[in-house]
Amino acid sequence: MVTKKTKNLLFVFDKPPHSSPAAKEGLDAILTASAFGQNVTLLLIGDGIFQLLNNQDPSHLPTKNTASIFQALEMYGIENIATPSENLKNKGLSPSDLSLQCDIIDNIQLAELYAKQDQILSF
Amino acid sequence: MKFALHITCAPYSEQGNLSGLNFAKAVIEKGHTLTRVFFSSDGVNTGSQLGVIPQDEIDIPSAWSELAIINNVELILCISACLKRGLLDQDEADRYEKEASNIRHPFVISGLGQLAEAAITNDRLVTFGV
Repeated sequence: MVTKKTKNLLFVFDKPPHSSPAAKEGLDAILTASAFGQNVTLLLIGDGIFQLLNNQDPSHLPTKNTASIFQALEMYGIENIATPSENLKNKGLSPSDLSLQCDIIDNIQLAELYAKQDQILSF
Repeated sequence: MKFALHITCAPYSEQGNLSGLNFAKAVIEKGHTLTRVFFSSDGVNTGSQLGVIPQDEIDIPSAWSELAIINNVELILCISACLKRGLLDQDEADRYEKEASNIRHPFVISGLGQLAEAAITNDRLVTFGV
C-alpha cells in the first residue's frame, strides 16, 4: 500500500457506552486507520471513559458488545490509549476501575497530545 | 489547503449537517480544495434521493449534490451505516434482494477506508457531529 507519510491520528471518544452507535463506529474507524499503518491514539474524555469500565455486562442489551472490542485493540496494534487524570477524578474512578491499561495524563500532556496530531476524529 | 469533511448527523435533525454544508461552501469560496465528504452514522441519510422538501425550506441533500458536482467533490456514504438505515445503491439492492435503491447522484457508497484515506491525504479533516 502506498501512502505518502504516516500521520498522527487522534480518535476522541466522549460518549458513554451502549447508548449510541458512536463507540462501535469509532472503533471501526480506529481499526481501519491502524490497518492503514497510521500512528493512532485513542483518547477517552468525558463520559467516554465509561467505555472502559470494568465488569460491564451488556449481555442483556440487543446491541453489539463494544466493551469486548476494546479488549482486542492491543491485538490490532493500538497501544496508545490515554485519558486525563482530572476526568477520572471527576467521575470518581481510579485506574483499577478500567478494563484496559491507559496512559493517565495531566492537562499539560493533554494539550501536547492534541498539538502533535495531524487529524482529530471525534466519535 | 486540502480539506475533507466527516459528517455524522442527519439533515433536518441536527444543525451539524447544514453547518458542514456551509463550511464546505466557505472552504471552496476561500480558494481551498475540498476533496471528499465522508458521511457516516445518521449522516448517511443525506444521500437519500427520496426526501421531499417543502418549497420554503432549504433542500440540504440537493445542496450537497450541487456543491459536489460543480466543485468535483467526492460524496462518500459509509456502507455499514447505509445498509442498516435502508440506503442502498443498485448494486446493494441487487445483492440483498431489495425492491428499490435510493441513492442520490453523485453520492457513492464505500467503506471506512475512505475516511482513513481522507485523514491521511488531506491537510485538514473536519468533523460535524451535532
